[in-house]
Amino acid sequence: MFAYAVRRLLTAIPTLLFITFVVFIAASQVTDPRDRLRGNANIDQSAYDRITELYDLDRAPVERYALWVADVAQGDLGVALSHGEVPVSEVFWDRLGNTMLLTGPAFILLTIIGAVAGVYSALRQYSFGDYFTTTIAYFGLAMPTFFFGLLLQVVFAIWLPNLTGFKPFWSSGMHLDSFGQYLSSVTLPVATLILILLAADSRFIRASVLDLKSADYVRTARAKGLSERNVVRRHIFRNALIPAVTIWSINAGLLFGGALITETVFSWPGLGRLIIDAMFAADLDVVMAVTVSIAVIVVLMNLLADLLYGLLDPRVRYD
Amino acid sequence: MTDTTEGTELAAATLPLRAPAVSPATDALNAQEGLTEKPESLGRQAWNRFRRHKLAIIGVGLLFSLAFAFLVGPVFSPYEVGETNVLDNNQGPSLAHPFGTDPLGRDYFVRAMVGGRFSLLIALVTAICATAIGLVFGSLAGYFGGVFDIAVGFVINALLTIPGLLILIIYGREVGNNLFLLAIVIAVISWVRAARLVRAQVLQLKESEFVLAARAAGAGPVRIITRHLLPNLYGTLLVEITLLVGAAIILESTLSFLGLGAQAPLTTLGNLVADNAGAIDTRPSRVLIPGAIITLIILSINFIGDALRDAVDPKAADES
Amino acid sequence: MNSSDDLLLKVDDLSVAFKTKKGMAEAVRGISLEVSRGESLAVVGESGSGKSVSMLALLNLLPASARIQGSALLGDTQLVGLDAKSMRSIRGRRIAMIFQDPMTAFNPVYTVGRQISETIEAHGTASSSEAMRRAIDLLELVGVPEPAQRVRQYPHEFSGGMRQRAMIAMAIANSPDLLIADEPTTALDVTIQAQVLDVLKDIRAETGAAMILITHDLGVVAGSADRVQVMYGGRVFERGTVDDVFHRPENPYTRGLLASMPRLDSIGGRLEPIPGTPPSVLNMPVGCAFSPRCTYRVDRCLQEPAQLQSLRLGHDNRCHLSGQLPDLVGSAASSDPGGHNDR
Repeated sequence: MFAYAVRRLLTAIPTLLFITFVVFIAASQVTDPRDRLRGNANIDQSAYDRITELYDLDRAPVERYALWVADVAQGDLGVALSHGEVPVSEVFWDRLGNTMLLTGPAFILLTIIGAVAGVYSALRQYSFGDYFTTTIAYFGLAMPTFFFGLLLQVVFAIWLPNLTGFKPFWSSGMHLDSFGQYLSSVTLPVATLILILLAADSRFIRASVLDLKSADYVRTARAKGLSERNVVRRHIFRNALIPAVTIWSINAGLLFGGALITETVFSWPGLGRLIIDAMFAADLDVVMAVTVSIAVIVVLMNLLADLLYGLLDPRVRYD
Repeated sequence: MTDTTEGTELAAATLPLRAPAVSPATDALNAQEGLTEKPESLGRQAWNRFRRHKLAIIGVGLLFSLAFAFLVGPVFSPYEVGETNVLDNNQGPSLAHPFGTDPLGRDYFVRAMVGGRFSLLIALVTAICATAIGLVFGSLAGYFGGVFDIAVGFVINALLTIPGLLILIIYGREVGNNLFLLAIVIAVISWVRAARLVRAQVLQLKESEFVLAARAAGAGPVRIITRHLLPNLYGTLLVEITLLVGAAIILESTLSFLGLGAQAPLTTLGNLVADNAGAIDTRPSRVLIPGAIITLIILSINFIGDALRDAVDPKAADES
Repeated sequence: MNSSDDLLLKVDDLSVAFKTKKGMAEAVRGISLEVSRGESLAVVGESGSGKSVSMLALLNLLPASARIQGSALLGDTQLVGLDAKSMRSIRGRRIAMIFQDPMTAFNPVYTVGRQISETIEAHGTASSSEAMRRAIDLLELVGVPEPAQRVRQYPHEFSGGMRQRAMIAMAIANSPDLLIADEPTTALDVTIQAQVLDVLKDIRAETGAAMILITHDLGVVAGSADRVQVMYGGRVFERGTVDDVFHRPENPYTRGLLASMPRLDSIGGRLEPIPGTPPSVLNMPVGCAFSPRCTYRVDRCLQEPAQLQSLRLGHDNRCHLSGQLPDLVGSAASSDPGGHNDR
């Protein structure tokens, strides 16, 4: 299994190189860190030249990519131009931590609520609860993340306080002074982040449980005289875990995509905010750092899912 | 998903098995054998299955009403799209201005309808382009396999490792003032699922008897793909285009919301939300209206897409 | 024909209907059967004849949309409408089932040993370590080599024949009075089929369990059953001893089945398939269910269904022309069909 993991990580390297190449070339085509100097009359030629040298802007994009790869391989993520030209790592890790404060609880809640809703509506197919979760899922899938975020802001930061004078949640910004503050500021962004994924996740779990409900071995288990509780627990839940692992790992990646939007809506200072600001500021090294980190997280999640898959399903072999 | 069928084993057993689309060859065969009673065509069967979905009918009705309003609404309004009237600015909904006015005094109803037009147009172009890209790569990878399959698989895999939005963020601003370029850029990150679906089906179809027969008869790959494989993919592609329209509207509006998509003077539902998000405390209706329109469009598209999927592939419908 | 203390299961007028969008689908339309202790009854019919559905109905293993009516007495216990808890104590303990496809009937994520011992533990008759020891003994009994190692293996590590043996081991784990084997050999290679049937026969000799063997393969019936019950369209069409039904088939459908089966003694003879297909449960003919396909059909067959009537002791037939069909020419009576009983 260890050898398999190592091999999988090695095969991920070309994928990472390809995707960073595409993003790097694309970004270097449309952005130039010197743009913001051009409009400013006070900037002299020397500042201009300094940035040209800092980013090797006199070289071809492909060459610059090669230099960037060489730097990253040595642990140097480059310079964050719009953050006072500090090394990228000085802003990056903080922001990654902030994003984790958002995506971590979101992942846990998404997994639990999705599993409960999916299993419930499968076991009670065509019940009120089933129709209810189906309806919620339809709306979840139809609402863009940013709009749901704005909607929550309107309801919890405007209408509810206007009606009751009580404002339960922060509708903007990250507040870490106390755990209560954190909870109050993280609630709405987390809700925004998981709504859409929750819809897809619970539908998936519902479908796989429905599938298993009519499996031959579930009928065998009943025919053996097992209690309904044990039939569901040992022969439906246990087997439903196998496909679920795959969707959970996909969710982990999607949460980072969703964070790009949610962080903008709620002014949460994480990676999403960082990369969008960096795009506007032509801060190429920052853009690349965020891209790489998200890609690495996705690759690791996929690997984790594959390894879990092997633990859950004795038919899977690593060779 | 929410079909009203009681999914009993018996109902499943009596469902007609899914047959490949009738190719011209079998039509000729039927004629030769003198089958007097023409069997119900697969398209007809699919339509009958589609019609049974109440939600799909609601979806179609809703979508057509919205599209009709987008097209006709501005024509009947006394206001022009860009017509500013600073004296009337920042109004709430009223008889004269059903959706109110914006800070420049522009009629928000007209703005929303025109925005809807462009959003739908971008989404349609995106969906068609993405499906076309997916069709080309998917069918080539599936049909020829080998190096080509590996290459396409590699690119798909790579695209799946980062959020598509990230690539859009980079290029979105560059093409934001050109509707068609914007649609194409969104399509470039949206073709992955179409390609996988097509590849899987082509892999299966190319081993089927009628393709082997065509190959034995000396048909070349182009002829086999266009004459024998494509007709069998229409259903899948139709479903995919439908669902992609929904996905594209979300992507476009999200991009516009981030300030990186469609740029003024282009008006889309997404940048209406973006432009007015700052005024959410004072005039929430200006955010809620375009947002609700987006949601309704996608809701109706998803209803239609689900029903189409069930209609095209009754077996899959039965499983969920 | 049996004294009542010997009677194990008595099914009377059992009907099963499914609620579907197109109305009620009557899969089983009033069947009756009796099984005595230690006896083997074969239930024969094409797919859709209601044979599996009626057996699943006995143990209430059908989906919730099924409506079960009639009577099924296991000893003194009425199985139809039995409460869930009592039903559980019957499943796997007094009546055990052997399913068609041993590949899908085992849960792929648990070891074979665990799935057998689970059956024992479910009825609280042994501790888990004791149950696992029993599982090893059971595997040995059904002829699985190296059972002590095999209990720790997963179903996918077993061959098809071994898996079906394990399935049998699981079924007899609690020494049930009645085994219901639903097409136990259909999913297996022909060479393995005979072995599995032998195992079943030996096991029954050892445990004295009665068996209901569901099959569409008359060849399987000849060597494994005492009596046969032929089903069509959810009804019993003919029943009697294996000898009666095979050598003096009275029902046109039974005759059709026999004529469509390959026989050892008539090499070169033509097989005659029954024309047409079985009726849909949603669209049963008004008259006799078999009438659209029947070569002996008369007008009356299209108008009203026939009743089951006794021809001679223990041989019943459902046909308007009962007793009036021409005798079969030679072949059907000349030897046993199939190849399983000439060993």
